Amino acid sequence: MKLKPNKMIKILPLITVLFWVGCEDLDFPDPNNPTDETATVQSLVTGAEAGLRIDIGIYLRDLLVVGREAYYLEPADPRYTGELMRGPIDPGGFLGNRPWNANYKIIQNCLSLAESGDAGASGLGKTFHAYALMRVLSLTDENGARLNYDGDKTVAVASKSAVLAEIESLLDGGYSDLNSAGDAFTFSLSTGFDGFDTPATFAKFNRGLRARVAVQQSDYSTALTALGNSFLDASGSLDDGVFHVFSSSANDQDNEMFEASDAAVIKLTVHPSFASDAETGDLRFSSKVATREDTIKYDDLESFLAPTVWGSSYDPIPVMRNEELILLQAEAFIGTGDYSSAEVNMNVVRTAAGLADYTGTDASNAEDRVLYEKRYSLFLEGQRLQDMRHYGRTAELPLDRDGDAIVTFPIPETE
Amino acid sequence: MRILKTILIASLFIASAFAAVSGTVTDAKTGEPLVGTSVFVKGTFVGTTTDDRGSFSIDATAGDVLMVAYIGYKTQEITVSGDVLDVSLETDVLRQDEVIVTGLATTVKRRNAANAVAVVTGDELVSAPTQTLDGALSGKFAGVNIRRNTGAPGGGINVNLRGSSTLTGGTQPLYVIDGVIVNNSANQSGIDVVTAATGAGSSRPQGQPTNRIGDINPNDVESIEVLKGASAAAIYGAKASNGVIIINTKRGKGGKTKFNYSARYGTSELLHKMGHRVFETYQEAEDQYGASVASLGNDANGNWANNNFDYEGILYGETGKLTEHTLSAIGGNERTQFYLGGQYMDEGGIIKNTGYQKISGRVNVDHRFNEKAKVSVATNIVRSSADRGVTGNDNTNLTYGFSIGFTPSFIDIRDTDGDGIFPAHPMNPSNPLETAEYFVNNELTHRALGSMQFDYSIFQQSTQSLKFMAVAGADFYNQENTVFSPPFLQIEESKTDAGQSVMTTTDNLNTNLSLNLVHKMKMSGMSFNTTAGQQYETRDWNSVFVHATGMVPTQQNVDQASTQAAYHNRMKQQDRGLFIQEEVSVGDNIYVAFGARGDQSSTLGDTETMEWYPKMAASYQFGEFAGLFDNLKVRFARGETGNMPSPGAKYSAMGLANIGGVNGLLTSSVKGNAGIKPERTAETEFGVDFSLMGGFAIVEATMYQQDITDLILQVDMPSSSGFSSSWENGGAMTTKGTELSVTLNPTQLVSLGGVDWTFRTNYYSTSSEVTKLNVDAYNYGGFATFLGTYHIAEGWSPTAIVGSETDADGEYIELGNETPDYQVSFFNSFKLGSINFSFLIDKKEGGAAINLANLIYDLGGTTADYEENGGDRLGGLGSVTQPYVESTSYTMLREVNLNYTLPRSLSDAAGVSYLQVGISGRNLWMDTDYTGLSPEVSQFGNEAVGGSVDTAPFPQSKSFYFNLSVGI
Repeated sequence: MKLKPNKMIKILPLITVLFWVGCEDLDFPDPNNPTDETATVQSLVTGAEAGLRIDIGIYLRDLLVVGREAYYLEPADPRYTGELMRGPIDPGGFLGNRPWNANYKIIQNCLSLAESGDAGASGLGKTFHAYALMRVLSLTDENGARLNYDGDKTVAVASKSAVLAEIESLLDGGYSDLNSAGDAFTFSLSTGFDGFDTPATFAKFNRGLRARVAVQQSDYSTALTALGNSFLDASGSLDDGVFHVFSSSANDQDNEMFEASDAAVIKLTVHPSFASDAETGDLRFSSKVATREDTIKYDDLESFLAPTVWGSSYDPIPVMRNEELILLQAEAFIGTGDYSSAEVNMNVVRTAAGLADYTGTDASNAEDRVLYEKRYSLFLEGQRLQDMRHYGRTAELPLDRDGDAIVTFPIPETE
Repeated sequence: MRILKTILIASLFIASAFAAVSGTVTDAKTGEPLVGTSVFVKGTFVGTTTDDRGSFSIDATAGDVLMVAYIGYKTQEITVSGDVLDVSLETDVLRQDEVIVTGLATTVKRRNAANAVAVVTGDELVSAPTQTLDGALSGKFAGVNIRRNTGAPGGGINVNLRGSSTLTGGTQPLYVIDGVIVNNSANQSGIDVVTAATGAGSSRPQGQPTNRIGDINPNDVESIEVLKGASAAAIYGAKASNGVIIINTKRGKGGKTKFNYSARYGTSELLHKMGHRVFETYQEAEDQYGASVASLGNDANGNWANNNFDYEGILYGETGKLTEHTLSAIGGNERTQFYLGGQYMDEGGIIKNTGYQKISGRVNVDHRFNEKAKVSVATNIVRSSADRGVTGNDNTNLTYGFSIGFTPSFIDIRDTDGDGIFPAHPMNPSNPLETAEYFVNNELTHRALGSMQFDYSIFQQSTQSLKFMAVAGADFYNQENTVFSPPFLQIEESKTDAGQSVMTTTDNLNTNLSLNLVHKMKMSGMSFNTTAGQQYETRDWNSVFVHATGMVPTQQNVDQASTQAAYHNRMKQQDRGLFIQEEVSVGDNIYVAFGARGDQSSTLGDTETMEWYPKMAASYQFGEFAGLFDNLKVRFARGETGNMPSPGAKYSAMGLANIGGVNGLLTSSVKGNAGIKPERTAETEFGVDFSLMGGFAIVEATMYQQDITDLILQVDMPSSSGFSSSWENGGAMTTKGTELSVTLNPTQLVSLGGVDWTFRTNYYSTSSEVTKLNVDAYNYGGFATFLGTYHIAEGWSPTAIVGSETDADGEYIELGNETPDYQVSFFNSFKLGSINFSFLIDKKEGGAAINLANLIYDLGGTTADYEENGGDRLGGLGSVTQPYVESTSYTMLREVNLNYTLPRSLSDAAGVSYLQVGISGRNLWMDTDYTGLSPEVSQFGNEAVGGSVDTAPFPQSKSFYFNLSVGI
């Protein structure tokens, strides 16, 4: 080791420069994630379809608890029995915000799809976009929703009627896109859309949603037209339709609603009124609810009824089924005064439920009857709250404790 | 370069005509030779060190002043008058001659330092055993706030220097060991996926992780120096806004090889319980839970059995056993010296199947090739294993704290017949006693650290020198976290896919290289010290996480499952820096330093432009003053540092959302910022240091103010944009504080019958205020506003806690503040002959935490004060949060140590150089009004804002040890 000073002095700057130059470029791409430049039509469609399931557990629990179809007795989070059943909903809390966030995340994909230049993708994008807004509105109701998607808070939040108008225009625009999209999509959908995976068949789902919105607005003639173009089939299987599907594959999701009905402790329990209000022999009650040996109690609420509609963590959750369309049509008939046609439709689901046919449906009983059928046919699908609102009958929902109330979700505080 | 040449030439003309002076250097008290003492001719660089007999020989002439200096002793100046010069050095009570780091390659003596710098030696660090290095720091420094986030084996400790300097950025100081930056990351174990506290890769994970600095064996440490603020740490630039902790490990010394062996045995027990509700009557139980549950408290005849099981006592009631063996060897000759250090530690936890094990080995070698070149190598290999149980927040009611909260004391969930089969919990999805018996949460780490320093004296003359110094280091670890929830557990049984296994493997490599030039020059009472250098630092972090569910019975491997989800995260960072610093001393009185560091980093939006961080510092030493002061110094320092954005902050990413086996993409929640800049902290520090009456009292008083700009915020975005938040440089904050350190040596004034008494107190208070926020005020941290959260708003402290309560204008009301009013520690040491007794009391006054453990217990109806207050607390929930925000004041007996050293005559007779026996304790006693398990708590680890949330973590323990140490 004989280094001479003068040599060292010469070597040093050299070492220094070599190291500085030899270092890698400091500007390198994200080692973890793709960017929006990587996205394709297929990845945007799949992302949107998959995204429709994000926080679906919270979304459905919100609707089920507020609509008094079920309790969510969660000792680790008292908000499900406090805030959700008494109000007011915290505008900074997860109950309203997580579903809101998920819907608007999907809308970003839908906006890209609408501009993709692919008519099928655009039609699907607009339909999903409308469906996302429908889900937002089912929580916020009169509080409305945002229709600007750029984060500009100076734009006012749109009113319920403006949002409904936007949903109609998106569904109709999507329908016309789908009608010009040829025989096949340029992308694939999951098995949840089996039977609805071409532009023509997807358009039938689009019309089903259109009918649901029209009925909510009591626009029954539009509803009947839309139903005529939907997948309604009075003699078909009631369970035909579109579903959220789940799996254990990578980056997929499981059904957050499932709990084994015989587990030692369960959180989602059926509201006791679902048992007391059921007609004797209604198969829809016995097939969807199990009676537990013990009573689950929490926060002055109790139930011994466990839902059995989901058999595992990978069972699908319906988006829209034929059974709903048949009952939507019944509602539309009632709305237009055609009680006998409505009765025919209601008797389709009653027969399937093992109940005797209705007779003598008229103005005095039609609304009660169709609400009963929807309640039992669409149990735990999150329609009840909407229906009670539509007929202005939320006051009839059972309140279990002093101070309980039927809540509406606020616009999130970050908006 | 021209200046350098001029100096070079000038120095050649300095004539020399020296003769040899020789002598020995000894300890004034014991007469022992001091090996390795520096002997210098004052005002020159002519110097040598003493050999293994304490002897030296140096070229000096009569009239020259020799400076004799040794660590821990007062430096002596002696005028040469003959050929022989024997020197005896006195121990340095005032520590004025302690050497303090001022730059990457330079040091200054404490008497001149312009910053308040705190140093502790290795002996002070480990008077009582500790699992982790950071755990040994509590109460030892002013300006340092240490919070143990959890009592779980392996640690998880928040070290905060001088208050808040960020809202979202890294909060932990930079750790530099032997000149090399080492990794202190907190890697998530993945347990929060099993508890569903948060999902995999959540932005606010809740795994209560350990810190990797804990791997370092405290017994290897020679000294720890804390550069608390930006003014002292500016030379570390963009990484230093949380301060710098400089650790020097033990080095070899020439002379006969000395061996030291220490053994420690001890036990640990639960420190503090929450307590529980006692159900006096059947009626009380029925009122709370209904008849079906209440009847579980009846005996066989249907009468109230008056059961009162203390499940805290049962579950947290293990006695942890500690065994520690350390062995070290120090030796070498004049050219090569070595230090060998080995440690074996095994400490049981206070919950069944928990504990910590560590094996560590270190080799430090110094070799001098010749007069000019020297190399110092340090290597350290560590294996640690921590079994941490399952505690903290939970959405499945699996963790111990949650489960106990839902277990009224009248029901019996024990395995009474001891067959390993536990009864199903009738009210909770899991039986915590069963969980503790079978659940696995292990963290296994293998780590290798190595560093090399090469010193080369380019030239050295009597009045100036130029030295080249290169330091290179690498720090690699592999951390393996295994979480296993067997399929037969109560919580798993009912699931479709029963049983879970999580395997997380994290690899991390940090590399460092720094090249420095140090020029020193002395002339007519002034000395100049110029340093310049470059740094290169890289970090590569790679973590793979597999979550398997549906386990085949008896199998733990993640492939023996019905489903798997895999997550992979990488982090890559590359930084370059340049610095230059000039230090000037005038006489013994004036010290001035100024310099700047420039940094580039891959984490910034702009990777081309150099960010500059300037510093300046000055001190004036009055020396003896006014007949009262032994010395008096005033000092001032100002400097800037940075805090890097998270390496992912500049990227706008899309995330995978698959269905039906097809890849889908969705925007991720956080919008990146391609122009992100570092946070910048500018600190000004003033201080006065003095010692009184011959060392009776030593006082250091410091005030500081930090102005933090370009605060990085994760700003909430209206999620109608598809994003929930975005990264912005959007705020400013001011942090002020006071530090006072007083050491008293009463025995300098009065005799206490041979007892040598030292008393030291450190006082520290700090407060912060957000002065500018480019976004609307927002709440951050905790779980929801009504469950307590932190409020970030202009004019507010960033650690202020709010809840549902608002005033008439709808403004939030501050319910408490995480930052304490002040912290103070008292250290007392008594020495009488061979007996040494010391204790350290650590007190925190004020500060608050959100005690949601109480809420869990309230919801379970089991809180100790449930009957009086539980109903009110629960009833108000939603509009009143205050009852769940509690003061975290505490007084803690941190360390107690009593030891006896065998007198020299006896140890000589026994054939050993020394023998010491003693007993010690850590965290033996605590006084607090806090009703949770521990007032030191953070569910969210080391987050800058939002940490102090208590969801029943692993409880803290008190430990008691017997120590034996022998030297050969």
